[in-house]
Amino acid sequence: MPPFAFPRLQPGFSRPFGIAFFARKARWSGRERLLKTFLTTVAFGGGEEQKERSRTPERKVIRMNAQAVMPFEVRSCELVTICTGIRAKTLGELREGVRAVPEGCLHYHFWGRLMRPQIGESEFDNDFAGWVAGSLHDVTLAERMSAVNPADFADLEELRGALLDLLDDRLDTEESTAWSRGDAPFFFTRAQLLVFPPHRTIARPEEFPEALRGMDRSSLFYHFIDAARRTPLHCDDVTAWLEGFGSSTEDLRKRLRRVDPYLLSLEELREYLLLAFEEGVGKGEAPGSAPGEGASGTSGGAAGHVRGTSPEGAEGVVSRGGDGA
Amino acid sequence: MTKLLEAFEGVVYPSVLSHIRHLGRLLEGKSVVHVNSTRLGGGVAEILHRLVPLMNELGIDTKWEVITGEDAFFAVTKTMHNAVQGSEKGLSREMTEVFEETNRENARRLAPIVSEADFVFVHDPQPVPLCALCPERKGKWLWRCHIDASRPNRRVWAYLRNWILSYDGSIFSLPEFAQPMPHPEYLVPPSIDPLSDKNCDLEPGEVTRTLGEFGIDPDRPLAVQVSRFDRFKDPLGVIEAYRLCRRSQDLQLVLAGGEATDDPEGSVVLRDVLDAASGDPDIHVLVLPADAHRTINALQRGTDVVLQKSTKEGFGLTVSEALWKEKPVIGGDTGGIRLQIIDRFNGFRVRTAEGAALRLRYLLQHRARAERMGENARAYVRENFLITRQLRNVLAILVAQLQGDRERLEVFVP
Repeated sequence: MPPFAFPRLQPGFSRPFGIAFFARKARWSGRERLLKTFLTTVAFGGGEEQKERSRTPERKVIRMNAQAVMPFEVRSCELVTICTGIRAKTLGELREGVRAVPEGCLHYHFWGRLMRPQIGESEFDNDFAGWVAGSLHDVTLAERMSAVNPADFADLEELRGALLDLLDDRLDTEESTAWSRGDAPFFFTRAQLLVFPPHRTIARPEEFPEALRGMDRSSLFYHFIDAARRTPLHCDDVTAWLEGFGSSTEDLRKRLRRVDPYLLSLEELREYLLLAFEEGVGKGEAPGSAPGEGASGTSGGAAGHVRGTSPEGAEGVVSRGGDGA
Repeated sequence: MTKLLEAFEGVVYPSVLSHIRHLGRLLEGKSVVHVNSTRLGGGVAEILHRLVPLMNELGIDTKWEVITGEDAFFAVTKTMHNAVQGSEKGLSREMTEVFEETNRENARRLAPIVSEADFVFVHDPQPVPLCALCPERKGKWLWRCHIDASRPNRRVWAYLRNWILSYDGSIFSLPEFAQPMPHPEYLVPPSIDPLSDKNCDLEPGEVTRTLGEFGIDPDRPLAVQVSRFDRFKDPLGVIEAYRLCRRSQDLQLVLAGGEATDDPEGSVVLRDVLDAASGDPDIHVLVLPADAHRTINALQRGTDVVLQKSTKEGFGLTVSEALWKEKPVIGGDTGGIRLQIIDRFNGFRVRTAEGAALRLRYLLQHRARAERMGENARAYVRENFLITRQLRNVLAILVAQLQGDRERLEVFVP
């Protein structure tokens, strides 16, 4: 038995009934309400305790929650990328590959790009769309594929179904596209995720921005991208943690939920999160704007290049999208 | 923090070093052997010169062994190298006999070291039979392919594949370079060492002095290609591009090549280059010893534009070297150069001598843009192509090999 590596869910996410029930229910309508109920009844306490809390005055609840919240544990991760050996030269072959590859491969081509070399504005936000546009020159289909936001799907099988629908539609309506060869093949790639033990803890939301500034890019990936796949409610780890602080973080959580990582590089994500924390910490319920909206003198909301601290060192030009490996 | 890693503190982000330490602790006490065909010359040797000490500092007992052979063996491996990159010239029975016999001799010599190792990395095709020829091996063996095997000579590849099948995994620089295998095929782009003599900062005086030693005028525009004298690096195409550019721009050209002990074809190509350059005092063909790293560093820093006009390329680390020195690079649109050069961001990718000439003229004309490209170039390399990233990747693969092929591995640090 090797001395390390045992898969586990985040603390508090191990109650099978709660997971199955809420994962099924939480997908569309009432997602935020269900998330809150899940976290209070399943993740951070039992049903009876919650009933008792709901009868308690609001101020007392906040104080109790704040006392009970465990520190946020910052982890980082490493992607080990692996060729699947499957490649596509035509749209028909791409369809066949999308049908056949393991789920993790789809996840990699939607999200793994964030951990690869990134530079320049990419018009398309996943590898499939990028290849369809750049190699098959089918911009119409690429646009549709790029609009597929993986966060909108309960799981990767549903995402696969949506992709296959798009590809089938295109193959049905444009027969020539089934056979035209791309300029370069598409290589289906998957990744193993190595998750490292926590290397830092954060006790209070006020401490988060400082930690965020020094956080490795892979920590952002783990807590915001991987969390959406790892946790039953597809929620990022930070929002889940802030839930424990009750209504004092409600505005901040709203702001965080409005951040769409699919459209951002990890450096841009960092900028948006920082802004959300700057504007949202310590504020209660308020009609907040999305991070960056209407803010002046910040990088939030800016499309294109963002000055940021690169994961390997000094400040550099980092931007979304990219022509990755 | 170990001493060598400490030296990277000012260069890379602290969490990168923290990752490396985590991984190192997981592998502490394990033994690793790297095997390749030369200690001098070429990107593989340069990477190993830094990677091996770094791994040792992390507590991983790491050795670097080099196979030995006669000229006939290296002539075969050069043919093989070219065939993997698509050359039609195949291997005769006599050639495979030389290849196998030399590898058998090396296997006998290295068996006591490699058989007991927890991990063995065998680099490129030259020593590839070693795994099968060491049946008593105990650890995991990985074949590291640094070259472009995307369109190999099929007969030669079929021959090599039989040897590669005995490995526990392969590592390729890009997915394009990989061929289907029944074992895991990892993807790890190579990298440069920012602290090595070839890439460290130099005083301006040293740069000027070096240019002067070779009769290069530091006040006139200069383009440099640093590469082995190899047909796939297209040195003749570079001379053609220089001549086209010279019709409208003043320009000097340096073609600097090292000599690798495993590259017997180099002298033939060098002769052709010297013939093409003869009579032009502004073309400087420099045959540098394999350890002339500071000279290469100075040439790359003293130039206005760097060329790497390869028609086939394993990865082309000279591109990252130049980008690190804030130079825009004009590179062939092939292999790993595509990953390193983003058109108009940090250089240009070209397919022809005419294209290279056009971009040369552009960069010499638009100095401010060239300077901006240079700034982008260094930032891009810092993020993606430094050896710390490669070390992370390599260590992660070793951990993954120990843990099996599960998609998510939660790492416990003892």
